[in-house]
Amino acid sequence: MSQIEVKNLVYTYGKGTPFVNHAVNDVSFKANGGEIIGIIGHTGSGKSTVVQHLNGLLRPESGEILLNGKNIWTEYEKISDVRFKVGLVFQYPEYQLFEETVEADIAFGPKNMGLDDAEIKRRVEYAARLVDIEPELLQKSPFDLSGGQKRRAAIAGIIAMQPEVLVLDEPTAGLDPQGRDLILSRIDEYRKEQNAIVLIVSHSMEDMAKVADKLLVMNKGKVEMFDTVCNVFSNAERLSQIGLDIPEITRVAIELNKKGYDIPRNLFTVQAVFESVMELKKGRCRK
Amino acid sequence: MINDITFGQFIDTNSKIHKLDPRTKLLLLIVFIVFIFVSNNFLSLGLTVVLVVAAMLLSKIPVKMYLRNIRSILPIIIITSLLNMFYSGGGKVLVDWWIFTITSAGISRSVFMTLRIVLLILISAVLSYTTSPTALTGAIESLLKPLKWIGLGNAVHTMAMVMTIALRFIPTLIEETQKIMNAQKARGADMETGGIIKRVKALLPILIPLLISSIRRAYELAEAMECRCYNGGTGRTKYKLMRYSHRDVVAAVVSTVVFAGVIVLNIYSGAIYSLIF
Repeated sequence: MSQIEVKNLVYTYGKGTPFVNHAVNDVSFKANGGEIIGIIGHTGSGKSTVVQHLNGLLRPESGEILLNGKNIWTEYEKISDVRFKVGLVFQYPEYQLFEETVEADIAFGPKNMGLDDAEIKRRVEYAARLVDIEPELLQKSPFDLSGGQKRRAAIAGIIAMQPEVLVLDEPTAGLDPQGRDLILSRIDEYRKEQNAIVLIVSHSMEDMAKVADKLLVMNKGKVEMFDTVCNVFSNAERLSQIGLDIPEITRVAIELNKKGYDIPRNLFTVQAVFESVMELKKGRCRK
Repeated sequence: MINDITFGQFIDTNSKIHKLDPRTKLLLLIVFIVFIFVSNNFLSLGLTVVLVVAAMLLSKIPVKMYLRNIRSILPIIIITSLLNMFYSGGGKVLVDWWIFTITSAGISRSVFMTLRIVLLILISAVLSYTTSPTALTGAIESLLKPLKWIGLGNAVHTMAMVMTIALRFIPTLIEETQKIMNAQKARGADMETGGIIKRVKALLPILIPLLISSIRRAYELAEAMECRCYNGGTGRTKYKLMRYSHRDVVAAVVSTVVFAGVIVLNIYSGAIYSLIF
Protein backbone atom coordinates (compact mmCIF):
# COMPACT_ATOMS: atom_id res chain seq x y z
CA MET A 1 0.00 0.00 0.00
CA SER A 2 1.26 3.45 -0.87
CA GLN A 3 2.18 5.83 1.84
CA ILE A 4 3.34 9.41 1.87
CA GLU A 5 4.80 11.08 4.91
CA VAL A 6 5.85 14.67 5.50
CA LYS A 7 8.34 15.08 8.33
CA ASN A 8 9.14 18.41 10.00
CA LEU A 9 8.89 20.32 6.72
CA VAL A 10 10.23 23.88 6.78
CA TYR A 11 10.24 26.28 3.83
CA THR A 12 10.91 30.00 3.66
CA TYR A 13 10.28 32.28 0.70
CA GLY A 14 12.65 35.12 -0.07
CA LYS A 15 15.43 33.97 2.22
CA GLY A 16 18.10 36.62 2.64
CA THR A 17 15.88 39.46 1.36
CA PRO A 18 13.75 41.95 3.30
CA PHE A 19 10.68 39.95 2.22
CA VAL A 20 11.28 36.81 4.29
CA ASN A 21 8.12 34.73 4.61
CA HIS A 22 8.11 31.56 6.69
CA ALA A 23 5.53 29.87 4.51
CA VAL A 24 5.78 26.45 6.14
CA ASN A 25 7.14 25.86 9.61
CA ASP A 26 7.55 22.34 10.99
CA VAL A 27 4.72 20.52 9.23
CA SER A 28 4.33 16.77 9.65
CA PHE A 29 1.61 14.35 8.59
CA LYS A 30 1.13 10.94 7.09
CA ALA A 31 -1.36 9.54 4.57
CA ASN A 32 -2.06 5.97 3.45
CA GLY A 33 -3.48 4.44 0.27
CA GLY A 34 -7.25 4.74 -0.05
CA GLU A 35 -7.49 7.85 2.10
CA ILE A 36 -8.79 11.23 1.05
CA ILE A 37 -7.16 14.00 3.05
CA GLY A 38 -8.60 17.51 2.86
CA ILE A 39 -6.15 20.35 3.43
CA ILE A 40 -7.90 23.45 4.69
CA GLY A 41 -6.63 26.77 5.94
CA HIS A 42 -6.95 30.49 5.51
CA THR A 43 -5.33 32.19 2.48
CA GLY A 44 -1.58 32.31 3.05
CA SER A 45 -1.57 29.50 5.61
CA GLY A 46 0.96 27.51 3.55
CA LYS A 47 -1.34 24.92 1.95
CA SER A 48 -0.10 25.40 -1.60
CA THR A 49 3.53 25.47 -0.46
CA VAL A 50 3.16 22.11 1.33
CA VAL A 51 1.48 20.66 -1.73
CA GLN A 52 4.30 21.73 -4.06
CA HIS A 53 6.79 19.86 -1.91
CA LEU A 54 4.99 16.55 -2.31
CA ASN A 55 6.12 16.06 -5.93
CA GLY A 56 9.45 17.82 -5.59
CA LEU A 57 8.61 21.12 -7.27
CA LEU A 58 9.97 22.81 -4.16
CA ARG A 59 12.86 21.44 -2.21
CA PRO A 60 12.47 21.47 1.58
CA GLU A 61 14.70 23.82 3.50
CA SER A 62 14.74 21.21 6.22
CA GLY A 63 12.67 18.13 6.92
CA GLU A 64 11.82 15.43 4.43
CA ILE A 65 9.13 13.98 2.20
CA LEU A 66 8.96 10.20 2.34
CA LEU A 67 7.17 8.35 -0.47
CA ASN A 68 6.70 4.71 0.52
CA GLY A 69 9.33 5.19 3.18
CA LYS A 70 11.95 6.66 0.86
CA ASN A 71 13.08 10.30 0.89
CA ILE A 72 12.21 11.69 -2.56
CA TRP A 73 15.39 13.80 -2.64
CA THR A 74 17.92 11.00 -1.99
CA GLU A 75 18.34 10.50 -5.72
CA TYR A 76 18.27 13.97 -7.20
CA GLU A 77 18.20 12.81 -10.86
CA LYS A 78 15.11 10.69 -10.28
CA ILE A 79 12.90 13.56 -9.15
CA SER A 80 10.88 13.32 -12.40
CA ASP A 81 9.92 9.74 -11.45
CA VAL A 82 8.52 11.17 -8.23
CA ARG A 83 6.44 13.60 -10.29
CA PHE A 84 4.84 10.65 -12.13
CA LYS A 85 4.05 8.91 -8.84
CA VAL A 86 2.71 12.03 -7.13
CA GLY A 87 0.36 13.71 -9.60
CA LEU A 88 -0.26 17.36 -8.83
CA VAL A 89 -3.26 19.21 -10.30
CA PHE A 90 -2.80 22.95 -9.93
CA GLN A 91 -5.49 25.56 -9.38
CA TYR A 92 -7.42 26.30 -12.59
CA PRO A 93 -5.59 23.51 -14.45
CA GLU A 94 -7.57 24.27 -17.63
CA TYR A 95 -5.26 27.21 -18.31
CA GLN A 96 -2.43 24.77 -18.90
CA LEU A 97 -4.06 22.93 -21.79
CA PHE A 98 -2.01 23.43 -24.93
CA GLU A 99 -2.25 20.55 -27.40
CA GLU A 100 -4.28 20.45 -30.59
CA THR A 101 -6.64 17.75 -29.38
CA VAL A 102 -7.90 16.73 -25.97
CA GLU A 103 -6.43 13.29 -26.58
CA ALA A 104 -2.94 14.66 -27.24
CA ASP A 105 -3.14 16.85 -24.16
CA ILE A 106 -4.10 14.01 -21.87
CA ALA A 107 -1.29 11.96 -23.45
CA PHE A 108 1.37 14.59 -22.60
CA GLY A 109 2.14 13.15 -19.17
CA PRO A 110 2.21 9.46 -20.16
CA LYS A 111 4.41 10.38 -23.15
CA ASN A 112 6.90 12.07 -20.86
CA MET A 113 6.95 8.86 -18.85
CA GLY A 114 8.31 7.10 -21.93
CA LEU A 115 5.48 4.56 -22.24
CA ASP A 116 4.79 2.77 -25.53
CA ASP A 117 1.97 3.92 -27.81
CA ALA A 118 -0.44 1.13 -26.90
CA GLU A 119 -0.05 1.83 -23.18
CA ILE A 120 -0.43 5.58 -23.75
CA LYS A 121 -3.67 4.99 -25.65
CA ARG A 122 -4.96 2.69 -22.96
CA ARG A 123 -4.20 5.24 -20.26
CA VAL A 124 -5.74 8.15 -22.16
CA GLU A 125 -8.93 6.15 -22.64
CA TYR A 126 -8.94 5.11 -18.99
CA ALA A 127 -8.46 8.67 -17.74
CA ALA A 128 -11.05 10.12 -20.12
CA ARG A 129 -13.61 7.51 -19.13
CA LEU A 130 -12.89 8.06 -15.45
CA VAL A 131 -13.49 11.81 -15.59
CA ASP A 132 -16.53 11.46 -17.87
CA ILE A 133 -15.05 12.87 -21.07
CA GLU A 134 -16.98 11.28 -23.94
CA PRO A 135 -14.83 9.53 -26.61
CA GLU A 136 -16.04 11.94 -29.34
CA LEU A 137 -14.62 14.87 -27.37
CA LEU A 138 -11.12 13.40 -27.52
CA GLN A 139 -10.54 14.58 -31.09
CA LYS A 140 -11.75 18.12 -30.38
CA SER A 141 -9.55 21.06 -29.55
CA PRO A 142 -9.38 21.53 -25.79
CA PHE A 143 -10.33 25.18 -26.33
CA ASP A 144 -13.73 24.16 -27.74
CA LEU A 145 -14.80 22.45 -24.51
CA SER A 146 -16.99 23.97 -21.84
CA GLY A 147 -15.45 25.21 -18.57
CA GLY A 148 -16.28 22.07 -16.61
CA GLN A 149 -15.15 19.80 -19.43
CA LYS A 150 -11.84 21.66 -19.71
CA ARG A 151 -11.27 21.24 -15.99
CA ARG A 152 -11.98 17.51 -16.21
CA ALA A 153 -9.77 17.11 -19.28
CA ALA A 154 -6.91 18.79 -17.40
CA ILE A 155 -7.41 16.51 -14.41
CA ALA A 156 -7.44 13.54 -16.81
CA GLY A 157 -3.98 14.67 -17.94
CA ILE A 158 -2.69 13.89 -14.45
CA ILE A 159 -4.82 10.80 -13.87
CA ALA A 160 -3.45 9.31 -17.11
CA MET A 161 -0.08 9.06 -15.36
CA GLN A 162 -1.87 6.85 -12.80
CA PRO A 163 -0.14 8.41 -9.82
CA GLU A 164 -0.14 6.65 -6.46
CA VAL A 165 -0.75 9.99 -4.82
CA LEU A 166 -3.18 12.42 -6.45
CA VAL A 167 -2.92 15.98 -5.16
CA LEU A 168 -5.46 18.61 -6.23
CA ASP A 169 -5.28 22.32 -5.42
CA GLU A 170 -8.83 23.75 -5.32
CA PRO A 171 -10.21 21.35 -7.95
CA THR A 172 -13.75 22.73 -7.72
CA ALA A 173 -13.04 26.48 -7.62
CA GLY A 174 -15.28 28.48 -9.94
CA LEU A 175 -17.51 25.58 -11.01
CA ASP A 176 -21.28 25.31 -10.69
CA PRO A 177 -22.66 22.89 -8.04
CA GLN A 178 -23.24 20.17 -10.62
CA GLY A 179 -19.73 20.41 -12.03
CA ARG A 180 -18.38 20.41 -8.48
CA ASP A 181 -20.19 17.23 -7.49
CA LEU A 182 -19.14 15.54 -10.72
CA ILE A 183 -15.46 16.28 -10.16
CA LEU A 184 -15.54 15.22 -6.52
CA SER A 185 -17.27 11.95 -7.37
CA ARG A 186 -14.71 11.28 -10.15
CA ILE A 187 -11.83 11.88 -7.76
CA ASP A 188 -13.44 9.51 -5.25
CA GLU A 189 -13.81 6.95 -8.02
CA TYR A 190 -10.10 7.16 -8.83
CA ARG A 191 -9.23 6.68 -5.16
CA LYS A 192 -11.35 3.51 -5.04
CA GLU A 193 -10.10 2.01 -8.31
CA GLN A 194 -6.40 2.61 -7.70
CA ASN A 195 -6.44 2.55 -3.89
CA ALA A 196 -4.62 5.86 -4.27
CA ILE A 197 -3.89 8.53 -1.71
CA VAL A 198 -5.84 11.70 -2.53
CA LEU A 199 -5.04 15.10 -1.06
CA ILE A 200 -7.40 17.97 -1.81
CA VAL A 201 -6.71 21.59 -0.97
CA SER A 202 -10.04 23.34 -0.57
CA HIS A 203 -11.86 26.33 0.80
CA SER A 204 -15.21 24.60 0.68
CA MET A 205 -16.08 22.95 3.98
CA GLU A 206 -19.16 21.44 2.31
CA ASP A 207 -16.99 19.68 -0.27
CA MET A 208 -14.64 18.44 2.40
CA ALA A 209 -17.50 17.12 4.51
CA LYS A 210 -18.70 15.19 1.47
CA VAL A 211 -15.49 13.45 0.40
CA ALA A 212 -12.68 13.71 2.93
CA ASP A 213 -11.78 11.06 5.51
CA LYS A 214 -9.39 13.28 7.42
CA LEU A 215 -8.67 16.99 7.51
CA LEU A 216 -5.33 18.72 7.81
CA VAL A 217 -6.02 22.20 9.16
CA MET A 218 -3.22 24.68 8.57
CA ASN A 219 -2.71 28.04 10.24
CA LYS A 220 0.21 30.41 9.67
CA GLY A 221 2.49 27.72 8.27
CA LYS A 222 1.82 25.21 11.03
CA VAL A 223 -0.49 22.22 11.43
CA GLU A 224 -3.39 23.29 13.62
CA MET A 225 -5.24 19.97 13.59
CA PHE A 226 -4.91 16.68 11.78
CA ASP A 227 -7.90 14.54 12.57
CA THR A 228 -11.08 12.95 11.26
CA VAL A 229 -13.63 15.26 9.65
CA CYS A 230 -15.96 14.65 12.58
CA ASN A 231 -13.43 15.70 15.22
CA VAL A 232 -12.26 18.74 13.27
CA PHE A 233 -15.73 20.14 12.65
CA SER A 234 -16.77 19.62 16.26
CA ASN A 235 -14.11 22.18 17.11
CA ALA A 236 -16.07 25.03 15.53
CA GLU A 237 -14.79 27.77 17.85
CA ARG A 238 -11.13 27.13 17.14
CA LEU A 239 -11.86 26.95 13.40
CA SER A 240 -13.54 30.34 13.35
CA GLN A 241 -10.65 31.81 15.37
CA ILE A 242 -8.27 30.95 12.56
CA GLY A 243 -10.62 32.31 9.90
CA LEU A 244 -12.28 29.05 8.87
CA ASP A 245 -15.85 27.88 8.87
CA ILE A 246 -17.85 24.76 9.46
CA PRO A 247 -20.38 23.51 6.88
CA GLU A 248 -23.60 25.51 6.94
CA ILE A 249 -25.69 22.46 7.69
CA THR A 250 -23.55 21.74 10.78
CA ARG A 251 -24.33 25.22 12.02
CA VAL A 252 -28.06 24.46 11.54
CA ALA A 253 -27.65 21.27 13.59
CA ILE A 254 -25.79 23.11 16.36
CA GLU A 255 -28.43 25.84 16.51
CA LEU A 256 -31.25 23.23 16.72
CA ASN A 257 -29.32 21.48 19.44
CA LYS A 258 -28.99 24.73 21.40
CA LYS A 259 -32.75 25.27 21.11
CA GLY A 260 -33.20 21.97 22.94
CA TYR A 261 -33.93 19.59 20.06
CA ASP A 262 -32.29 16.23 20.34
CA ILE A 263 -30.00 16.54 17.33
CA PRO A 264 -26.29 15.74 17.54
CA ARG A 265 -23.88 18.65 16.98
CA ASN A 266 -21.47 16.73 14.81
CA LEU A 267 -23.45 16.24 11.61
CA PHE A 268 -22.09 17.76 8.44
CA THR A 269 -24.09 16.48 5.53
CA VAL A 270 -27.60 17.54 4.64
CA GLN A 271 -28.56 13.86 4.48
CA ALA A 272 -27.44 13.18 8.06
CA VAL A 273 -29.26 16.18 9.48
CA PHE A 274 -32.36 15.29 7.47
CA GLU A 275 -32.38 11.73 8.85
CA SER A 276 -31.90 12.92 12.37
CA VAL A 277 -34.72 15.45 12.07
CA MET A 278 -37.00 12.75 10.61
CA GLU A 279 -36.07 10.44 13.49
CA LEU A 280 -37.05 13.17 15.91
CA LYS A 281 -40.35 13.74 14.14
CA LYS A 282 -41.18 10.03 14.17
CA GLY A 283 -40.60 9.97 17.91
CA ARG A 284 -43.02 12.86 18.36
CA CYS A 285 -45.74 11.20 16.31
CA ARG A 286 -45.52 8.09 18.45
CA LYS A 287 -46.22 10.07 21.56
CA MET B 1 15.08 31.62 -10.45
CA ILE B 2 12.54 33.57 -12.41
CA ASN B 3 10.91 35.26 -9.41
CA ASP B 4 14.17 36.89 -8.41
CA ILE B 5 13.78 39.31 -11.29
CA THR B 6 12.54 42.56 -9.86
CA PHE B 7 11.12 44.82 -12.45
CA GLY B 8 11.60 48.54 -12.31
CA GLN B 9 14.02 49.69 -9.68
CA PHE B 10 11.84 52.18 -7.88
CA ILE B 11 12.70 52.38 -4.16
CA ASP B 12 10.57 54.82 -2.21
CA THR B 13 12.69 56.70 0.34
CA ASN B 14 10.63 59.85 -0.10
CA SER B 15 13.74 62.01 -0.50
CA LYS B 16 14.06 65.45 -2.06
CA ILE B 17 14.86 63.82 -5.38
CA HIS B 18 11.76 61.64 -5.13
CA LYS B 19 9.62 64.72 -4.65
CA LEU B 20 10.85 66.38 -7.83
CA ASP B 21 8.40 66.42 -10.70
CA PRO B 22 9.12 63.40 -12.93
CA ARG B 23 9.20 65.75 -15.95
CA THR B 24 11.97 67.78 -14.35
CA LYS B 25 13.93 64.62 -13.62
CA LEU B 26 13.50 63.30 -17.14
CA LEU B 27 14.53 66.57 -18.78
CA LEU B 28 17.48 67.05 -16.43
CA LEU B 29 18.60 63.48 -17.14
CA ILE B 30 18.75 64.27 -20.85
CA VAL B 31 20.66 67.50 -20.17
CA PHE B 32 23.04 65.68 -17.79
CA ILE B 33 23.84 63.08 -20.42
CA VAL B 34 24.56 65.79 -22.96
CA PHE B 35 26.87 67.55 -20.52
CA ILE B 36 28.71 64.38 -19.58
CA PHE B 37 29.72 64.26 -23.24
CA VAL B 38 30.26 67.99 -23.55
CA SER B 39 32.85 67.92 -20.75
CA ASN B 40 36.13 67.50 -22.60
CA ASN B 41 38.66 67.61 -19.75
CA PHE B 42 39.06 66.34 -16.21
CA LEU B 43 38.18 69.66 -14.62
CA SER B 44 34.77 70.07 -16.24
CA LEU B 45 34.03 66.37 -15.88
CA GLY B 46 34.96 66.71 -12.21
CA LEU B 47 32.23 69.28 -11.81
CA THR B 48 29.69 66.89 -13.35
CA VAL B 49 30.92 64.19 -10.94
CA VAL B 50 30.17 66.52 -8.02
CA LEU B 51 26.62 67.05 -9.27
CA VAL B 52 25.99 63.34 -9.85
CA VAL B 53 27.36 62.38 -6.43
CA ALA B 54 25.24 65.08 -4.83
CA ALA B 55 22.13 63.74 -6.56
CA MET B 56 23.01 60.20 -5.43
CA LEU B 57 23.41 61.27 -1.80
CA LEU B 58 20.23 63.37 -1.87
CA SER B 59 18.25 60.36 -3.13
CA LYS B 60 18.86 58.52 0.20
CA ILE B 61 19.26 55.27 -1.75
CA PRO B 62 22.06 53.11 -0.28
CA VAL B 63 25.28 53.50 -2.28
CA LYS B 64 25.40 49.70 -2.42
CA MET B 65 22.39 49.75 -4.77
CA TYR B 66 24.21 52.09 -7.15
CA LEU B 67 27.33 49.94 -7.10
CA ARG B 68 25.18 46.94 -8.02
CA ASN B 69 24.20 48.80 -11.20
CA ILE B 70 27.81 49.38 -12.13
CA ARG B 71 28.73 45.78 -11.42
CA SER B 72 26.19 44.53 -13.93
CA ILE B 73 27.86 46.40 -16.79
CA LEU B 74 31.42 45.85 -15.59
CA PRO B 75 32.41 43.83 -18.69
CA ILE B 76 31.45 46.74 -20.98
CA ILE B 77 33.41 49.17 -18.85
CA ILE B 78 36.49 46.95 -18.89
CA ILE B 79 36.38 46.42 -22.65
CA THR B 80 35.98 50.15 -23.37
CA SER B 81 38.79 51.13 -21.06
CA LEU B 82 41.13 48.50 -22.55
CA LEU B 83 40.33 49.54 -26.12
CA ASN B 84 40.92 53.20 -25.26
CA MET B 85 44.16 52.37 -23.51
CA PHE B 86 45.65 50.50 -26.44
CA TYR B 87 44.28 52.46 -29.35
CA SER B 88 44.90 56.07 -28.47
CA GLY B 89 48.35 57.33 -29.22
CA GLY B 90 50.29 60.42 -28.12
CA GLY B 91 52.09 61.28 -24.93
CA LYS B 92 54.90 59.43 -23.26
CA VAL B 93 55.29 55.74 -24.09
CA LEU B 94 55.06 53.76 -20.86
CA VAL B 95 54.95 50.16 -22.03
CA ASP B 96 55.96 48.81 -25.41
CA TRP B 97 55.66 45.06 -25.64
CA TRP B 98 54.92 43.00 -28.79
CA ILE B 99 51.83 44.64 -30.38
CA PHE B 100 50.81 46.44 -27.21
CA THR B 101 51.80 50.03 -26.63
CA ILE B 102 50.54 51.93 -23.63
CA THR B 103 51.05 55.67 -23.56
CA SER B 104 50.30 58.24 -20.88
CA ALA B 105 47.66 59.77 -23.17
CA GLY B 106 46.13 56.34 -23.61
CA ILE B 107 45.79 55.83 -19.86
CA SER B 108 44.35 59.25 -19.28
CA ARG B 109 41.87 58.73 -22.10
CA SER B 110 40.84 55.34 -20.80
CA VAL B 111 40.22 56.72 -17.30
CA PHE B 112 38.25 59.58 -18.84
CA MET B 113 36.01 57.27 -20.88
CA THR B 114 35.44 54.92 -17.94
CA LEU B 115 34.42 57.85 -15.79
CA ARG B 116 31.96 58.99 -18.45
CA ILE B 117 30.29 55.57 -18.67
CA VAL B 118 30.10 55.23 -14.89
CA LEU B 119 28.53 58.69 -14.62
CA LEU B 120 26.02 57.80 -17.30
CA ILE B 121 24.97 54.66 -15.43
CA LEU B 122 24.79 56.41 -12.08
CA ILE B 123 22.69 59.34 -13.22
CA SER B 124 20.25 57.06 -15.06
CA ALA B 125 20.07 54.94 -11.90
CA VAL B 126 19.16 58.03 -9.88
CA LEU B 127 16.15 58.49 -12.16
CA SER B 128 15.01 54.86 -12.09
CA TYR B 129 15.48 54.50 -8.33
CA THR B 130 13.54 57.65 -7.52
CA THR B 131 10.75 57.58 -10.12
CA SER B 132 8.06 54.92 -10.40
CA PRO B 133 7.47 53.53 -13.90
CA THR B 134 3.97 55.02 -13.96
CA ALA B 135 5.25 58.47 -13.04
CA LEU B 136 7.80 58.14 -15.81
CA THR B 137 5.25 57.27 -18.48
CA GLY B 138 3.10 60.11 -17.19
CA ALA B 139 6.05 62.44 -17.63
CA ILE B 140 6.69 61.22 -21.16
CA GLU B 141 3.04 61.70 -22.04
CA SER B 142 3.03 65.19 -20.59
CA LEU B 143 6.28 66.22 -22.29
CA LEU B 144 5.06 64.95 -25.67
CA LYS B 145 1.81 66.88 -25.37
CA PRO B 146 2.87 69.56 -27.89
CA LEU B 147 2.63 66.83 -30.56
CA LYS B 148 -1.13 67.37 -30.51
CA TRP B 149 -0.55 70.50 -32.59
CA ILE B 150 0.44 68.25 -35.46
CA GLY B 151 -2.54 65.93 -34.86
CA LEU B 152 -0.74 63.28 -32.82
CA GLY B 153 -2.45 64.01 -29.48
CA ASN B 154 -4.36 60.72 -29.27
CA ALA B 155 -1.36 58.74 -30.48
CA VAL B 156 0.72 60.10 -27.61
CA HIS B 157 -1.95 59.15 -25.09
CA THR B 158 -2.31 55.69 -26.61
CA MET B 159 1.42 55.05 -26.50
CA ALA B 160 1.60 56.17 -22.88
CA MET B 161 -1.35 53.93 -21.98
CA VAL B 162 0.25 50.97 -23.78
CA MET B 163 3.48 51.52 -21.86
CA THR B 164 1.70 51.81 -18.52
CA ILE B 165 -0.29 48.64 -19.10
CA ALA B 166 2.78 46.76 -20.31
CA LEU B 167 4.73 47.75 -17.19
CA ARG B 168 1.81 46.84 -14.97
CA PHE B 169 1.50 43.35 -16.42
CA ILE B 170 5.13 42.28 -16.41
CA PRO B 171 5.03 40.94 -12.83
CA THR B 172 1.69 39.25 -13.57
CA LEU B 173 3.14 37.53 -16.62
CA ILE B 174 6.21 36.38 -14.71
CA GLU B 175 3.98 34.85 -12.07
CA GLU B 176 1.82 33.21 -14.71
CA THR B 177 4.87 31.77 -16.50
CA GLN B 178 6.10 30.30 -13.25
CA LYS B 179 2.71 28.69 -12.62
CA ILE B 180 2.47 27.16 -16.08
CA MET B 181 6.06 25.91 -15.89
CA ASN B 182 5.32 24.20 -12.59
CA ALA B 183 2.14 22.69 -13.95
CA GLN B 184 3.91 21.22 -16.99
CA LYS B 185 6.81 20.05 -14.84
CA ALA B 186 4.24 18.23 -12.73
CA ARG B 187 3.34 16.34 -15.92
CA GLY B 188 6.97 15.44 -16.42
CA ALA B 189 7.91 18.16 -18.90
CA ASP B 190 11.68 18.36 -19.13
CA MET B 191 13.02 21.81 -19.98
CA GLU B 192 16.59 21.46 -18.85
CA THR B 193 18.12 18.68 -20.93
CA GLY B 194 18.44 17.77 -24.61
CA GLY B 195 19.59 19.46 -27.80
CA ILE B 196 18.43 22.81 -29.07
CA ILE B 197 15.48 21.49 -31.11
CA LYS B 198 14.26 19.43 -28.17
CA ARG B 199 14.50 22.44 -25.89
CA VAL B 200 12.62 24.72 -28.26
CA LYS B 201 9.92 22.06 -28.54
CA ALA B 202 9.81 21.82 -24.77
CA LEU B 203 8.92 25.51 -24.64
CA LEU B 204 5.66 25.03 -26.56
CA PRO B 205 3.68 23.64 -23.60
CA ILE B 206 4.55 26.87 -21.79
CA LEU B 207 4.30 29.43 -24.58
CA ILE B 208 0.91 28.36 -25.92
CA PRO B 209 -0.98 28.59 -22.61
CA LEU B 210 0.86 31.82 -21.82
CA LEU B 211 -0.14 33.36 -25.14
CA ILE B 212 -3.74 32.26 -24.78
CA SER B 213 -4.06 33.60 -21.27
CA SER B 214 -2.46 36.91 -22.29
CA ILE B 215 -5.01 37.37 -25.07
CA ARG B 216 -7.82 36.43 -22.71
CA ARG B 217 -6.48 38.90 -20.16
CA ALA B 218 -6.25 41.63 -22.80
CA TYR B 219 -9.90 41.16 -23.74
CA GLU B 220 -10.95 41.21 -20.11
CA LEU B 221 -8.96 44.34 -19.41
CA ALA B 222 -10.36 46.09 -22.49
CA GLU B 223 -13.89 45.24 -21.40
CA ALA B 224 -13.25 46.41 -17.86
CA MET B 225 -11.86 49.70 -19.19
CA GLU B 226 -14.83 50.21 -21.49
CA CYS B 227 -17.19 49.48 -18.60
CA ARG B 228 -15.60 52.43 -16.86
CA CYS B 229 -16.21 54.60 -19.91
CA TYR B 230 -12.63 54.70 -21.15
CA ASN B 231 -12.60 56.02 -24.70
CA GLY B 232 -9.13 57.27 -25.30
CA GLY B 233 -7.33 60.34 -24.10
CA THR B 234 -9.74 63.11 -25.06
CA GLY B 235 -11.23 64.86 -22.08
CA ARG B 236 -9.62 62.46 -19.61
CA THR B 237 -8.43 64.02 -16.39
CA LYS B 238 -5.68 62.74 -14.14
CA TYR B 239 -5.88 61.38 -10.61
CA LYS B 240 -2.30 62.33 -9.87
CA LEU B 241 -1.66 65.82 -11.16
CA MET B 242 1.92 66.74 -11.94
CA ARG B 243 2.83 70.18 -10.69
CA TYR B 244 6.13 71.99 -10.78
CA SER B 245 7.09 73.30 -7.35
CA HIS B 246 9.89 75.40 -5.86
CA ARG B 247 11.98 72.23 -5.67
CA ASP B 248 11.98 71.94 -9.44
CA VAL B 249 13.09 75.53 -9.75
CA VAL B 250 15.97 74.90 -7.32
CA ALA B 251 17.00 71.76 -9.21
CA ALA B 252 16.90 73.61 -12.53
CA VAL B 253 18.89 76.59 -11.22
CA VAL B 254 21.57 74.42 -9.57
CA SER B 255 21.94 72.35 -12.72
CA THR B 256 22.17 75.46 -14.90
CA VAL B 257 24.90 76.93 -12.71
CA VAL B 258 26.87 73.69 -12.81
CA PHE B 259 26.48 73.42 -16.58
CA ALA B 260 27.60 77.00 -17.03
CA GLY B 261 30.63 76.03 -14.95
CA VAL B 262 31.26 73.05 -17.22
CA ILE B 263 31.29 75.28 -20.28
CA VAL B 264 33.61 77.79 -18.63
CA LEU B 265 35.99 75.04 -17.53
CA ASN B 266 35.88 73.55 -21.04
CA ILE B 267 37.02 76.84 -22.56
CA TYR B 268 39.56 77.92 -19.96
CA SER B 269 40.91 74.52 -18.91
CA GLY B 270 44.20 75.18 -20.71
CA ALA B 271 44.73 78.44 -18.85
CA ILE B 272 43.81 76.90 -15.48
CA TYR B 273 46.15 73.94 -16.05
CA SER B 274 49.07 76.27 -16.83
CA LEU B 275 48.21 78.35 -13.77
CA ILE B 276 48.40 75.32 -11.48
CA PHE B 277 51.34 73.48 -13.05
